[in-house]
Amino acid sequence: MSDKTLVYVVDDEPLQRDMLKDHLSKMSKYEIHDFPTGEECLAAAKVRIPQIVFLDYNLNSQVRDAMDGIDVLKELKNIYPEMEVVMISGQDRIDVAVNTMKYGAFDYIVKGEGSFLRAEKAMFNIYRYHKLQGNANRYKKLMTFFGIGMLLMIILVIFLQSQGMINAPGWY
Amino acid sequence: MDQPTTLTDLSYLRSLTGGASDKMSKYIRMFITGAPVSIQQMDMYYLNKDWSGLRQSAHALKPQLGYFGAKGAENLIKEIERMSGDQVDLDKIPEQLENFRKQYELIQSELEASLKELGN
Repeated sequence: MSDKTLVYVVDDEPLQRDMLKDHLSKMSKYEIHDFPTGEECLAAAKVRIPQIVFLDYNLNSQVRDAMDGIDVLKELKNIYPEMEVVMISGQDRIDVAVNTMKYGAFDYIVKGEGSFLRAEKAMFNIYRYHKLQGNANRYKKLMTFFGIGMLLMIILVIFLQSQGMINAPGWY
Repeated sequence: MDQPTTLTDLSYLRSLTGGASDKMSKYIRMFITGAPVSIQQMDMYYLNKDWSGLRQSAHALKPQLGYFGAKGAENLIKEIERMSGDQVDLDKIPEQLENFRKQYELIQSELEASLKELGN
């Protein structure tokens, strides 16, 4: 089993899909697979769940009755809430971006000359976000254990005092 | 101001691929294979008055033109996307489609010449 991060790229435009896949493949720690439709991505996710999905917003420019990006996003986040989805679209409209965020997209990238570098940056941000989240969870656990330890210690001291096994604090 | 002598500019593609001629050739081939299909689709959508389909086809083609530095054609397709999306100036769409088709033919010739230069 590969220890690389599994990434799916979903776009119905073969050129766009290949360019993004080739660009992300330069980064050695990622295993990238690509799909022309959301339906194929959802089927593949049932077999192997990807950590990150780059998902085109307009997935029905070739096949008109194909699922569109928002529907695929909703389904992916519903089944796999931990999965990070980065939406890609040719529309630089704020309402479209806000809409995708509302349904749980991690980031929104506008197609164009800067989109490949933005995709690379999104991967880095996802990695950094999960690392920070992991650190925060570890810190929370540590603080919980410390709190429980302190509480047990206080209970023990009170018990030992009540049994006369230790004296009261000697500051008087 | 001087008009640009070519309709395409592969400097972005060169920078993205690090000058890898095999990748550049692959992308050029994919574009000149896919774009005529998109143009046919746009004609069909216009004839059927399917404005949503026309807008989507134009929208999908737009960023690809940018990757090959075809700014003039990109502006034409943006106009087609706007007209069909907002359903305004619909009578001007055939002229825009024709202008785009003519420009695309020149772009294709330029890209085919680039393919020969790349030698892949």
